[in-house]
Amino acid sequence: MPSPQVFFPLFSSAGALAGSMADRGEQDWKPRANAAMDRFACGDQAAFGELYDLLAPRLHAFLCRRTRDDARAEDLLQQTFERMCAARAHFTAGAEVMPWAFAIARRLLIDAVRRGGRDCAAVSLGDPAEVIDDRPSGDCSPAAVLGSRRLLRRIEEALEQVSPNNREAFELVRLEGISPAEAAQMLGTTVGNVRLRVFRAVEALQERLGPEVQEELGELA
Amino acid sequence: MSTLPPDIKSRILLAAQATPSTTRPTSRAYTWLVAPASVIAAASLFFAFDGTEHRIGQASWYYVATTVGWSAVAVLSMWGALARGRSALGRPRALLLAITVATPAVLFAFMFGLALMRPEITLVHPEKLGKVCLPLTLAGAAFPLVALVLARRGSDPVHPVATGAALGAACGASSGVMVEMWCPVATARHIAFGHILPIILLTLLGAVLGARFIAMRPKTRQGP
Repeated sequence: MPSPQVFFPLFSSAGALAGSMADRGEQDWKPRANAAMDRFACGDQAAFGELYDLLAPRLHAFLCRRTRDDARAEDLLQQTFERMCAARAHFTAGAEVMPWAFAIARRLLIDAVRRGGRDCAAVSLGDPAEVIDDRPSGDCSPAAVLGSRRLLRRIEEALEQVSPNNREAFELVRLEGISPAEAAQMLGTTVGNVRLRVFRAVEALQERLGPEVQEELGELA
Repeated sequence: MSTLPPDIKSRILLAAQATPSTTRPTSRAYTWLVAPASVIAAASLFFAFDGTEHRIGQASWYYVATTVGWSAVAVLSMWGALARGRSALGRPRALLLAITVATPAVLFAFMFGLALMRPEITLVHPEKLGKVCLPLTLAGAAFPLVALVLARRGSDPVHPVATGAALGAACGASSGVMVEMWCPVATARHIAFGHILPIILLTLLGAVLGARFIAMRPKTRQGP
């Protein structure tokens, strides 16, 4: 089995995709996204395309994980951008756009489930092969890929066993890179409670994944 | 990680172009227009109900104290309900709920304390239940509440009910300033029924309007 470190861009504080994009020299995407949203809120239509480029992959990944359905995730992604466009006047100048965008996506997801959709609380990391494709670098030998798939399947299964509240906090803070304070606002709870949920999720993952990945997970608690 | 299909960007850009929306400067201008329009509406009500003639008999300091006290609470609660802080998600739910609960509580405590300190103000006018003050407060708050809810239409993905409730309480307190300038009765029962109860009713109305209009829902029409 390959080293677990190979897979833990997934659990990096900036999130799976952010982790891989960071390696492509795109660490400054957050200020760029905030600036683009500011310009769009003030009437610059051209900024919307840039905003899409910076946010869409992250929102899509989030929606895919929550819905396990590409078509539905695409539909919700479109609705999210439509709502962002419609509500652009209410975007606070100088604020972070990502928590706002994720809050909108989450709201639309909840509404979709209430309208009779599938259980959105279920989490999937998607096709492990695709996740592996997003790794910034590493050993791509057949044995490594096979080991990766097994480990990712275990991570996926372990995450599914974490309670929905703890898993949601873990995803927002650890996978999407949203601050605990903003995650608390999105979830309607306190910062302390969010930290506790994340800690409990990490604890549960450590317990289920065994000693080989405990050290890595321990850094996240 | 799922990859985005190549055609989705153009589809979303087209959909966004077709989505009606206003810009931040336009929205701000609209919100700022609500303030003078609300003052004019409240002043019209005030003078339609005899204005300063109605309060004859009550001590002048009482009007000054109540007007200043209610104005301070109204300004604070309106600022708390309207300003969104540094986050695009608006004020935390706990703060909005604190505004919602504290506004009527502080106002009642203030009026009750005033009557306890100077009991003579309760003797100037015979006790009335407040059947005029209650609808007058509701009428004075109706315009700003509806206008502000429309200004915030489809904008809150997180806690629209709390936002609406806080706006309701703030509009009730603002309207209460006009009613306090008009009403000479200072008894606790009158204050509770005629002045505080409408704020509570407006809070509930704000919560309902928040859930219906301020909430961010798919395919809703947007306000200014």
